Amino acid sequence: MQNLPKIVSERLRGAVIKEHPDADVLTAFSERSLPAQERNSVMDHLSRCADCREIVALALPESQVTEVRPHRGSGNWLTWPALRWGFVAAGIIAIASLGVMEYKRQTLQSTAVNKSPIEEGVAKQTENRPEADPAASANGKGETTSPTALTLSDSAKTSAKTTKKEFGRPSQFTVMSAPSRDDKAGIRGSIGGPLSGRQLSHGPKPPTQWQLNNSANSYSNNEAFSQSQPVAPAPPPSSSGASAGSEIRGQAAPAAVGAKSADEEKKSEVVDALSRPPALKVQSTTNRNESEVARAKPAEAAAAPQAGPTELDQATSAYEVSSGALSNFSKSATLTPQSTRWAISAAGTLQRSVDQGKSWQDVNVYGPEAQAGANLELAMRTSRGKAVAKDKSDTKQREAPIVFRAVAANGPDVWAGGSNGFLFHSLDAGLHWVRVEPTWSGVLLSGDVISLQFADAQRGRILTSSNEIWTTADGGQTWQKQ
Amino acid sequence: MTSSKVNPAVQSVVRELLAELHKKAGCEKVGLSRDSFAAILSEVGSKHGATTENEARTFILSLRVDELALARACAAGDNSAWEIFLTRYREKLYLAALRIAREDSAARELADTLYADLYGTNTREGQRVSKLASYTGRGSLEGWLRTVLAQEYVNRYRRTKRLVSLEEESEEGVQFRAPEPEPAAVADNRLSQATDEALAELPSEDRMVLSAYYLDGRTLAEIARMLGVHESTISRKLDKMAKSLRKQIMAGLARRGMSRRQAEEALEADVRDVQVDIRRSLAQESSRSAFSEKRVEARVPEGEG
Repeated sequence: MQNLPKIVSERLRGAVIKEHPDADVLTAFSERSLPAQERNSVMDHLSRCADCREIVALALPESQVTEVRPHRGSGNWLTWPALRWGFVAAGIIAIASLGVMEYKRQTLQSTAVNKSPIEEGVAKQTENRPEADPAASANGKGETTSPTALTLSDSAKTSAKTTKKEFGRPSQFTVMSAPSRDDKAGIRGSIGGPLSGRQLSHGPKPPTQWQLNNSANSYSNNEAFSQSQPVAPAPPPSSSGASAGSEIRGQAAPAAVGAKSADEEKKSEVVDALSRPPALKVQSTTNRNESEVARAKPAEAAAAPQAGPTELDQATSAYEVSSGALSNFSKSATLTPQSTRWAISAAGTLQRSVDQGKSWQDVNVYGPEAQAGANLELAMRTSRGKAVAKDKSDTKQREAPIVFRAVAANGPDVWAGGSNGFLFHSLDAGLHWVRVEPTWSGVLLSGDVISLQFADAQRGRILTSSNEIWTTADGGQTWQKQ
Repeated sequence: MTSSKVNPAVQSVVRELLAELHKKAGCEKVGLSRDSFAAILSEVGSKHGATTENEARTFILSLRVDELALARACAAGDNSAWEIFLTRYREKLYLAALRIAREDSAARELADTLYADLYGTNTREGQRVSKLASYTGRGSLEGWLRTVLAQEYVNRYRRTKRLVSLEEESEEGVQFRAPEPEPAAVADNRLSQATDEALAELPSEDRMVLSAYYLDGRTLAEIARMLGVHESTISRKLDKMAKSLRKQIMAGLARRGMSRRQAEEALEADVRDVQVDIRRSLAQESSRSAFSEKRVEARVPEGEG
């Protein structure tokens, strides 16, 4: 682009100008709040006056190039480099825990023998002929898994506390629900026990090679299994959930199918829970190991369907807990809207303060879901699912950053306007935003919104850079242009 | 405060909107009476030169009345207004000065000078005149403060440039300074005419981008932020303009009776220098700013002494 004839630079220099626009006008120019006509005349001056160009350049606000995008992801650690290290760490943990479990198996086996004769029989059977074990064969797992599984189910049986200690993982809930079902199910325990136990051992764990290979298998087998056995519907969601969580490639579809095969009563809820993982993932800011949380959350959500019909309440509560912890925006829902202050940053970002202006946070008018969706997309790289597709379109929309110019608030009723006629309205103090496109006798609002005034929630007035005044008397339902 | 030629259209609009705006601007907080606020509004409106009532209304409504009220209350010497002003802008002012001057002591001096101006150390007819009285609320007060700082800085640089002695110049490495651009040695003024013509046809924004990039050596990011558009837009624009300008000039030369080859030669002769020229203008820019920093620094003892 340097290919400009020298003569052009020479002639651009032009003559020195005596009259300069005053500071007010220059400020309004760089804030883009001048009407189009005046902006042009200032532009004309700037094109000829080096001094004023320098003034405008020097007076630019602090560089916020990275912050201009209103959708800074809150989950920066969900990037691939971070995830890779997370995998490495998780792998090490997996190997270590396998070693520990292998060791504990020796000690626990003896207690298991004392505990229940039924289990003992199964255990013995498994030890002798692992292939003959119904659970093991149904799931197409190798020999190595079933003994481990058995001990785990034993431990689950003996006491939930022990299990907690052993795992210390977010999947405690699943573990706790397993014994209660076993008790109820009686005879099923011998089959369901090992199954659920095995699921436990793999649910929260990172993917090892054989699990990745087998997860698809085990899933289809389990589904087949579910036709004949009433216990079986429980495991599939868990296994697919575990693989969705640990494999990251996102087998969201199998998980959903698995959920369908689960109890009909909870179907909608389960699907809901499964469709939420993006939000769960991104917003979870607990102090747990990062990558573990990222994987454990979907597993937890998937754990809900795993619990049998008797645990409906518990399952629901599990879902509620996880959804309750998921979002800092849900917290803000409890704020009194009156205490919220609104401002536009120098770079044109919409900002909100809930502590009387002491600190300000950027507000994303496209909402937290969109934000979460973008991160999900990044992390999962999956093209499946309506939610993701919707988020994609949102992402496209958001590619042009909105530069806000004006904001007006009446309690929870907030209006924000900016470049290119962007106008957003929120009825709940910025929790949800709706894009408003004022029209009047077929004409769309054009130009930048440079001023917004709302006397109350109903009556408002907008000024645009194209020198138009738009008014509404019914909270933005209809508009008049003057 | 009221100017002699108050516009009737402006006044009627001010009367119409006064109650609403007075409340919105929070005038009570800064001790601004309704009448003085009305006077301020009509002064600002008249200065803008709106003729019709509609124009005046649009203009008055676009003002940032709250910041205008605050600034004018400060100018009038209201203590509570000053308190608000200082808590809100003191920190920002120093930060902005630091960004402009890029050096702490110079920034401090710059900001202090502005404070003096804002408070109004200059007196006229026994009344101190605050610079805040010239704020009209067209842009944000914060942006205005930054602009005023930048103006002060640029003016000072222009003043001090003349004060550089020959001795100092040689000390400070004048050899790095590019020579003043020699007047275009264009034997044939047809070329410059054609160029002027092509430039005049450009929209002012394009010309501004060209000047900022090629003359001032601004980066794409800076230009983009000055205009509030994306960097890539500027980059595309520059590319496109370099091409179209060349074509336009060639066409202009052809109209002036130059053959294609002659025209190409006339242009090409310069193109060889373009790279150098741009680098030179960039170098000039940076050496100039390095210079001005030193100048300001050098002025500090002067100002205090």
